[in-house]
Amino acid sequence: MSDIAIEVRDLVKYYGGRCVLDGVSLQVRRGCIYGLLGRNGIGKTTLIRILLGQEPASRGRTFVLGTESMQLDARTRGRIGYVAEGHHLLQHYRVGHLVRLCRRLSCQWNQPFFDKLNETFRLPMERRVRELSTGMRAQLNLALAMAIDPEVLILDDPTLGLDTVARWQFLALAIDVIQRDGRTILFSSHILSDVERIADRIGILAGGKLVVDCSLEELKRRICKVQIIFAESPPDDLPLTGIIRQQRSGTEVIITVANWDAAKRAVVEAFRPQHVAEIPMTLEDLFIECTNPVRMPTAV
Amino acid sequence: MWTLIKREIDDSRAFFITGAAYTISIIVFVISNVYSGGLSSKSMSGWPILPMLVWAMVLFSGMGAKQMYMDKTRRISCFLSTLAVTRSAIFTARVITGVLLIVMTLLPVTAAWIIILKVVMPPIPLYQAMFVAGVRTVLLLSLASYSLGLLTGWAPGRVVPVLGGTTLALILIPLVILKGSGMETAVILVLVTAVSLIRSRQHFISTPL
Amino acid sequence: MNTLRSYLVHVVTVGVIVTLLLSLVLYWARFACKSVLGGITPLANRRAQVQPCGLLPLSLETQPAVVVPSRVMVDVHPEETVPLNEHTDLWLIGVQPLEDEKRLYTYFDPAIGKIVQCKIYQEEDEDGESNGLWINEPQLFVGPEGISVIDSDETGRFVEPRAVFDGKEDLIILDTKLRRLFRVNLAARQVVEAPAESLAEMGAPVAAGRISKNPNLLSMQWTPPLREATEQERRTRQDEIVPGNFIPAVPLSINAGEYVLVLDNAGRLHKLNRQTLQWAGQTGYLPTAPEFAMSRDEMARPYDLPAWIAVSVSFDPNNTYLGALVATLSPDGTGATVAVFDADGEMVASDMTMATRVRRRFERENGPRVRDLSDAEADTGYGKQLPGGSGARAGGPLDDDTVARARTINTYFEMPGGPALTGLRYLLENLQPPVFSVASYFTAPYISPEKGQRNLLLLPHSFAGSLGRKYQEDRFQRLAVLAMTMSPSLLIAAVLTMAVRRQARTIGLSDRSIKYWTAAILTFGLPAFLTWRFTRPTHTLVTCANCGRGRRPDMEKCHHCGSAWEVPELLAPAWRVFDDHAASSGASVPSTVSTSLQVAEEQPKDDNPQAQTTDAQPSA
Repeated sequence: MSDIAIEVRDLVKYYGGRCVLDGVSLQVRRGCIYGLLGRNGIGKTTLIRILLGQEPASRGRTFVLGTESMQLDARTRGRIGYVAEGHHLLQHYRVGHLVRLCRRLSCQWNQPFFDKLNETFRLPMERRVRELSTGMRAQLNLALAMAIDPEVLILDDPTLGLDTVARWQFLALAIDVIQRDGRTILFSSHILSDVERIADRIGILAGGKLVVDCSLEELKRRICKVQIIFAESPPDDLPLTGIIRQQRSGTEVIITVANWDAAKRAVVEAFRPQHVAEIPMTLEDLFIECTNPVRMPTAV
Repeated sequence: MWTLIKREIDDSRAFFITGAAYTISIIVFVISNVYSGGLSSKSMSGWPILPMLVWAMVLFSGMGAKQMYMDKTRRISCFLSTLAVTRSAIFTARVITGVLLIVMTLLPVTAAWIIILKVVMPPIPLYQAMFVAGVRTVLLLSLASYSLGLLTGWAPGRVVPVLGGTTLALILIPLVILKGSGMETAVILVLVTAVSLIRSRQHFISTPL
Repeated sequence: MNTLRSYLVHVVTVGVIVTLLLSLVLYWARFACKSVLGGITPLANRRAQVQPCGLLPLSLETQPAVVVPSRVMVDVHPEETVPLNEHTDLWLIGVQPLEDEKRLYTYFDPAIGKIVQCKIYQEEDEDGESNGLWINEPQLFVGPEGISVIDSDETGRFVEPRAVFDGKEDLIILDTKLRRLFRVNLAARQVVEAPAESLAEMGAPVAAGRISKNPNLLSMQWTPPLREATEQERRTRQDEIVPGNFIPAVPLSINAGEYVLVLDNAGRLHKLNRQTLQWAGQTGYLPTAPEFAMSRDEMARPYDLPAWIAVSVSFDPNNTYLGALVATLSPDGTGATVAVFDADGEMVASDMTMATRVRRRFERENGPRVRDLSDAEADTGYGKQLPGGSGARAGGPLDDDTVARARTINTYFEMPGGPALTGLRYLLENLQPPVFSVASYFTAPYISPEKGQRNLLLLPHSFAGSLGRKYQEDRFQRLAVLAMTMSPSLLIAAVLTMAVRRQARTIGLSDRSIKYWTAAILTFGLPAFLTWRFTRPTHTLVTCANCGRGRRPDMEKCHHCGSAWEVPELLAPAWRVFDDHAASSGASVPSTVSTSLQVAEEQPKDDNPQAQTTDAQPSA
């Protein structure tokens, strides 16, 4: 059995004349929790839908559990849990009826686990799905996705609409799932603190491409915000590659640099600044820096 | 598969009820004719056979169109495909449900016709052959109408899904007037049904959900 | 390969549906044109008649009591769309009411291969009311080897019998597959088979006894010489009185007498002795009827005609055979001919449906076909061609010039709206796929006209089909006529092909695909074009950054300039952060140093994320 749970190869997707994904490639190994990040409309949901075979790619191929997405068979689908953005369910069904349907259509259904989730969420079985609040729909969606004991769990902004407590409960569940061997999670969210808590690896989409694909620690190590204070006016241009952003204020220059290493530090030191310090960044700070649409010129 | 079929039947309750109402109304009509005026081949010549046929074809093509249109608007397959279910299975269950509707609607009517014709028509091979040919044609016409409904139901917009299948089905009815109920008509209807189902399936399996 | 197969399935399935449904729509449009044409054609132009018919001696026609001479008249009926029932003609032979509301059914049972005569009635309960149960009492089983009261193998099996009642008790049975002819007396249970020598004198028999095909399309009326009925006759012979209180002046009978007629597959009519079924000579033939493109043959084959009728005329008292009245409908159903043959099989009179101006011209030259006989005409040699004469003949066959001018296109063209409707019908036929027009041209002689009237794809009665029937000898002439007839169809196909080729190139179809579509549209015309419209790839073209023309996003290279993929509108940053640090980092270099490393970092399109990602190790 391959240890790659999810694979994307040179994925290109056009909607009409608009390119959304421009040659995206990534791999998610089994047991990994992969946080897929990006701004609104960047193509995260599109990539996930293509992975699940709900949308055909314009070019490129995607695989889940070793099977090509558009050819996923029933058994493989039964091993994938999915929480969709917007929690799309059968709106006209009653909750109880929907649960029974999912149970009958699943390959493996963990009723005790579902009951435990239901105790937590207290879902109203007699109400129709369209009558539920957004938060309750999210909980229902989550419960249905987890009750099938999936090997791969794909969550597209799963905490959208959840209150703080519910979000906390979800994260606890996610950690519970993580602790089971071999489970893989592909997790996309705008609440980066949540992602930071549980993700092993981070992928960031920007401009149709995957610009970051590494572990969270590696990301924090390699993208650095550096404060440089010069004695006199700073040089017009710092000869550094990978500058993401540059701010100047008097003698102070704050640069956010990709792939910060000793060599680049040596380049900065060559200008004999008064002070060079790395500013720690959270994932949220990193994300903002990476995906801010204001482009700073790169070094020539 | 049975779960999917049951789900389709649940969603199409209105059509099954309409089909049952149609069947019952025809049987009631026939019985009332039997008791009021007596039954004879002469009295039957005034019966509205063509409108009955048209209504049935509208019902079946509407069923096919409704199944696909509702799926598209309610994103049913979008949800189901996240479960341990393939699109092929969803489509197969859909078609089986459509065929069930056709059989459940036509079977009682056919049984009623058999009884009527046994009363009215003498038992000679000609009438039996004509009856068999007629039943075969109506069944194939129903399947073809349903298939055309499936084909047009997923089209974008509202007009084509709602009216397209019915329009195409109504174009088929004059085929029976033109060619009769012989084997030529049967072959054409089987061909229309087969290609419509093949294309519907192909489209359903590859379309974005 | 999977995509190609999928596309092929898509095209074929849509193509079949489009072709079938479009052909249905075109059929009804053509039918509408023909129906309107038929409806606006005056009755006089749909009628052929001869009066007097020419079978009786002049003295009988000109008796003082005779008010109306004998007449035979045929009418063409507008095409009907009665559903075909392939069973009726073959299976149900007759129904005879009996006493006590019982009926005697005579029918062919294909399961046992016998003609069965059955008494069928509904069972009654004690109150005399019917309880719905049918009682079937077989009386006789007739096979080619005999008659029996039970179903027995000894009586043999018919294969494809055509049986008609000859009187109340006798059946004339012709099995076209076995090529055997019988006369069966049901009461006496006697079977007489036509001797082999009789059948050897004729071609394969097609009909016997009642010579009639599709009477709904062509009807014949025959009246003997009529006189006024007396008061007593009006009371006692009511069934013989015709409108106007006339009664036959001469007792004649139809399809009775000493002979029974048999039609063979060459179109010849033969007479067989009614009792012994011995061959007694040829008595006429099926004359050709006028159509759009006139046939050169005088005699038509029954297979080629959608309708025909032939009846024998005999004196009633002594059954002396006088002759035969024959009517035919043209293959395209537009014109009819009526012909009168005497006892020797010579044609003594004929008429065709024709345009008004053609008839006026003919009557100016030859006198009317329907006339009251004056004393002067009574002396002029009734029914025969006069040497050097015209204007005084009461009957006689039509001359060749008139026959040529009787083409039905003349009839249609002289009616208001006729040319437009005919032209519209011609254009509708040209919307058919060209390949089917060609096929119709070559297969027209081999498709039976009544089936051909209802064909969707092969149209033997189209202009192409009609001309194909006519030009069968000269190959070059055939092809030239075909090309001319199909020229609108070919023009339409050519225009559509050019449009599709242009569209296909724009959306980047491969050369091979364009060739296939070109061939398909030239072959199948409008249905293929509609299939193209429904199935063509619907990618939205994106402007190529290199050549500026529209290119398909699902193709790796631009199909115009071959340039690789670029999406300039997407502003991806130049840097990357992947697990493989060496691949993704680039040391900063002063401008004086080689720029190769800088290029490696700053030209993201040369990056190979795939290579970088696979080198990455999962985080601990």
